[in-house]
This record gives sequence, structure tokens and C-alpha cells, in this order.
Amino acid sequence: MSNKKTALVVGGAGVIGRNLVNFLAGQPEWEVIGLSRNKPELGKKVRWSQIDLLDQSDVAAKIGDLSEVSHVFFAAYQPRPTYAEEVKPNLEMLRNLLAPLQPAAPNLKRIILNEGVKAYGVHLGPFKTPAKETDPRHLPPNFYYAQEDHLKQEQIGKNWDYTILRPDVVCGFSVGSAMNLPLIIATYAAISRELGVPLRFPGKVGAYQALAQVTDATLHAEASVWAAVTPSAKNEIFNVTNGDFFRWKQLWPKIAELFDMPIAEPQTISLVNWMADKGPVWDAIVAKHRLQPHKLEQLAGWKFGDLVFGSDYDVMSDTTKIRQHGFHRVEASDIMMIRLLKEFREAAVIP
Amino acid sequence: MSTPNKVALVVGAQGVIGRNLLDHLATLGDWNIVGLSRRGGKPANRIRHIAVDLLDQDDCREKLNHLADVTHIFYAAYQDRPTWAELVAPNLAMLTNVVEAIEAVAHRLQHISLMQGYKVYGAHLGPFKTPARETDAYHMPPEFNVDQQVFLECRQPGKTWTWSAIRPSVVCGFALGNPMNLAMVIAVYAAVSKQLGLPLRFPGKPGAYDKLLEMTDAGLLARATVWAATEQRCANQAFNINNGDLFRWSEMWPKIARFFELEVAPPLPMSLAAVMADKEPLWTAMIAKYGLEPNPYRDVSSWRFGDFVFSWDYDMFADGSKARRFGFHDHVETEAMFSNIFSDFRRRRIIP
Repeated sequence: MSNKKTALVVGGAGVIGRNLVNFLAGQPEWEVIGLSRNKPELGKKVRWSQIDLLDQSDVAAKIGDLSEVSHVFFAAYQPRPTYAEEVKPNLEMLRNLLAPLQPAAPNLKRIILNEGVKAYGVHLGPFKTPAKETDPRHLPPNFYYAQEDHLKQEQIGKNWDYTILRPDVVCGFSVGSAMNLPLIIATYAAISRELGVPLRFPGKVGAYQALAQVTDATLHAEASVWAAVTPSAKNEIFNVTNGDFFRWKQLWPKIAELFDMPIAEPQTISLVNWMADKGPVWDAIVAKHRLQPHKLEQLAGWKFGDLVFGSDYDVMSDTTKIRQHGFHRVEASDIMMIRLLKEFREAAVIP
Repeated sequence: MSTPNKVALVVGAQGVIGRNLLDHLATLGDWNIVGLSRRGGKPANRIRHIAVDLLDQDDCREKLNHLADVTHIFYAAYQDRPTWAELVAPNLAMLTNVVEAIEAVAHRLQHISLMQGYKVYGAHLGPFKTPARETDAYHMPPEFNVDQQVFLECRQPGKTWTWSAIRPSVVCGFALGNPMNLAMVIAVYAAVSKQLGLPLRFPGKPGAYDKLLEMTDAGLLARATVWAATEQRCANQAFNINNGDLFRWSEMWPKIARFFELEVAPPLPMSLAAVMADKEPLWTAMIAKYGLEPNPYRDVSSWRFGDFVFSWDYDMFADGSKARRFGFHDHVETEAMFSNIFSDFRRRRIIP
């Protein structure tokens, strides 16, 4: 019998998905299939399934191509204007995939569902930190809860099982995803420099001092594969972060140094509002530095930036559980951030 | 079982750190162990004790001159003094005396492990940069932990041995008569509260109740210390060593109360050194009533240390990721650690 495993990476174009696809493509015991509505441009040749998961007939038409799938890595996300509105489409995507996939893929072994620290209410305001996997839920709605409940219900009596991962602020080398913090920082910094202003932390004053955490996308990819093949991860939930905490006031001067910019005290602005008119400035930067021709809105999801920089309370997950189950990789977050910014610079995505 | 080929000299063998280090080394199979302390101790499998006054250079030379086979020094001794400045001279002298005495006779000496703590980062002075990293700049002296490290750094070039510096948070484990034993502080305080029909009140500063802190399990610390002393990559480096999780008393206190089957009441600031000073007769009565081991009250009292820990009304933690990056992968859940230690105290008939 072959030990070959086949991964289906759902949401393959996002920061989590792309890094996972790239990581799996380098693993000899894995076949990988990416899945998203639109096929992203990738450096290497990867099998891709272009499916709109909100369209049941589209799924039905293409599910036959997914018969070898043994592991599903679910990292798709449909944003909506309100938290209540997010529930339906995000639950439907999972349901629309799982219902036809189970009969179509008889070797299905494990489903890795990605959640995040919103499971603990990070988006609502100060919450109990460090957050543990056993902490009680906040008052719904929360689409993670809907997905999680559906997955648990669906799993009963089946040959497959699941693992739930809760990363926070996944940072990776990826263009075109709305929630990639290094590109938000880099474009904001480049625009500040172009306009002759110092690098100011754009978030709330309290967020400059509060504790923060991030998850390196390659660490997350490794954790995902670990979760897929580790017996004790069966039907368990794990927080997964770099394993350290930092304060923006500690990291900000290092970012300023990398971009060779003076630093100034924080000035709270809404990035969504203040960056809305900066498209032409970015286009000028692209021309001046001969960068890859990306539009500003392709690179930076300002809403996500406002959320992260607006958290003027400690944001912390306890990662003891995943360590005790045997996943040991840790990353120094400041070194990770500077490394990613340099990678984007070398790839001529940012100046 | 492999033949012992390493000889550990554990300096400060009766403290909470030293005791747990002895126990851990004894389980490894390839170590013979010599424990140094003022009190000495009973020999056990692969462990022998020497009673020595480390402040007395001549006593050191005389008692240690036969230890030619020592390969590793694990230094975890501590002399308390009333002020930070007064700590320097005796603590530096003890280390110097041991190193000089052993170096002179032990030609196979490979490593000197130095036990430090977050005082290196100024954690005892007030709010400091957190998470603290091994690369952070020192604070304004006096700081004996730094002087000790500098002593090793200056002495090491050209020697057969390397050093490592281990920086734990508050160390929790079993020991008696230890001036820095937080688990014992909590256990005895809780037992006395219960005996008096009181709820369990957090006795520290109001601001200390919701700040972040962390602990270091003595067993985890022992494993980390031996790991750093025997791992080539760790030579001449410092490592923060902690459980790997952070907590706030506001979350932990109700869990501790549940362990002792006590109600929780809101925090009430009080000096344990003051309010526990007159509890010796009560403790003696409790020993009789519950059939406890007859440990003198002073051996289960570290009230000054309790007051110190409970006064930290600022985040008190260090970044433990360097050791994890270098390959030390142990994690201890602090809540489980407290519960295990309290259960151990009960098994040993130290608390009811």
C-alpha cells in the first residue's frame, strides 16, 4: 500500500493556503491540490481546482476530480460587512464541500479546519488572556462556531476525523490576500516615506504598548501537516502561534530602521479612510522603484490593519497544548517580520 | 544502564533548585553526583553530600580538594542579604571559591552552569521591558547575578570548560527551609486560612492581581539545566527557562482555592510577613490535629518572598523562545504544576 497522501488546500490563494500549498509541494509523500474560485499565479506548477464553494452545482460538477483526497486543509474565508452576515456563507462553503466530498473521496482521513483568535472574541474588545483552547465561547454569532459545530456533528460515526487550528495574524510571503500584515506595514511605510512623513504607528496609542502575537505562515504550514498526521491531534483544537509575544513599540523601531526612516510617536488614523486616496502615490512608487505592477488594493487589506493595530489590549494565545502534543517549532516574531519584509523587497513587491 | 562517566557537583544542593536537580541527575544513569550545602545530607544512590561553608575559602579548598573527577559544576547556591548591594560580595565570593577549588584539582572539568533569574532584567526593581530577552541590556548595578556571569565570562577563555547561564522565573517545587518557595507560601497560607474559617484572599497589591506572570517548574528547570550544560550549541550562552505559559493571579487564584476547597474573596492587600508572624502556635496545633510531619514553622515559611512575588503590579515575564529554538522542548502547564506540587505536599504530610 502506498503511503502517498493527497491534500486538498481550500482557500489556496490566501496567505495560509499559498504557503501550505508551497510547503506540501516540497514534501515527497504528499500530492497537493489547491482550491479557490480564481486560480492564483504561482511560481511552480500545482494542480488546481477552480471551484466556487458557494455554488453547489459548481461543486457537484467538479467533485469527481477530488476522489483521491485524504486530507482537507480548510482555509477559505468569505468576508461580509457584519459578523452575523459572515455566518451563512462561511458555513455554506464548508457544508457544500463536505457533503459531496465524503462519498466522492473514500480515503478521506482528516479535515484540518482553520479558525483564529476571533474564536476567543479578540474582535470584540479586551478578552481573557492568555486564551486557552478550553475557554468558553463568547456570545454568538461567530462563524467559527457554526463551522466547528457542523464539523463535529458531521464527523460522528465517520472514518475521518478533524483537527482545528487557531493561528493568529498569519504572516507570509504572499501577494493578493487581504490579511497579510507585513504588506500592510510595508506599503504604509513606503507611502509615508514617499510623502516625507516619519514612520508613525497608525493604531491606537494603547495598542503600541499592549502585547501582540503573530504566526509565521511556514510555521503554520508545518503545524498543519503535523496536525494532519499526528494521531493525538484527532478531534482536538490547538492554538498555534510563533510562541513568543511582542509589543509594537519594540518592533516599530526595527521596521523604521529597515526602511531607513525616522520614527515618530503614534498617530491614530483609520487606515481604511486615510489610505483610500493613496492609489496614485503607490503607482508612482511602483514606477520610480521599478516594482512589480501591483495595485495598492491588491497588496494591503487596510481593514485588517485597522483591526490589528486597534487592539489596545493584550492579544495572547496559550500554546502549551500543541507543544505538549509534540509540535515544537518556534519563531522569533521580530526576526520573522524583518525577514518577510526583506523577501518582499527582494521580489520587487515593495521598495 | 550506561556506566556513569560524568560527575556533577551541585552547589546549593538543599534548595528547591538543587534538590530537584539532584533527583533529575540521579534518574539519568550516566551521572555520579556530589551535593554541596552548609547542612549536608544523607547519601543515596549515586549521590553523596558534603557539608561546606562556601564563604570560607579554606574550608572550600579542604573539603573539595579530593573532587578530581568533577566534570560539571551546577551552581545554584544563594546567600540572602538585606540589600541588593550587600548581596554582591558573599554571592560572588561563594562562586569564586568553588570554581577556584575545583579548577585546581578537576582537570576533566567541562562545564560550569550558573543559576540566575529575572533579576538580571531588573524584574525586582519595578516595571521593566517585557518580554525580557537574553540580549537585553543590563540594569544599573549592583546585580550579583551579572557579576557572577561576568566572572565566568572573563575566566573562561583558554579553559577546558564552557559555561551556561540559566534564567528561570519563580521556581516552584518541593523543598523545606527555603527562603524562596512560592508554592509553600500559597499552600501554608491556604491551609491556615481554611483552619481559621476564612475565604482565600489574594494578599498582594491590587494591581498585581491581573498582571501577567509566569513560573518555572523545578523539574522542568532541572531538565533544562542539564540540557544546556551538555549541549554544545549552548556553550557560553544564557537562556530564559520558564514553563512556556503565562497567567494572571485573577485566573489562577480561584483554581487554587478550588484545590483547597475554599471560597474565594476579593483581594485584600496585607503583608504576609506581618500577618503570618503569629501563626506558629496555630501551625503546631494543625500538625497535631492532622498528623502532619513535625516541620518547624520557620521551615515552611517564606513570607517575605511571598510578599515580594505578590507585589508585582506589572507584567513579569521573559521570552522563553531562545531555549525552544535551540532544542529544549519541555512545556509545563502552570495550573497543573501548582496542583501537582500541592498534592505532593499533601502526600509528604506537610500540609493537611
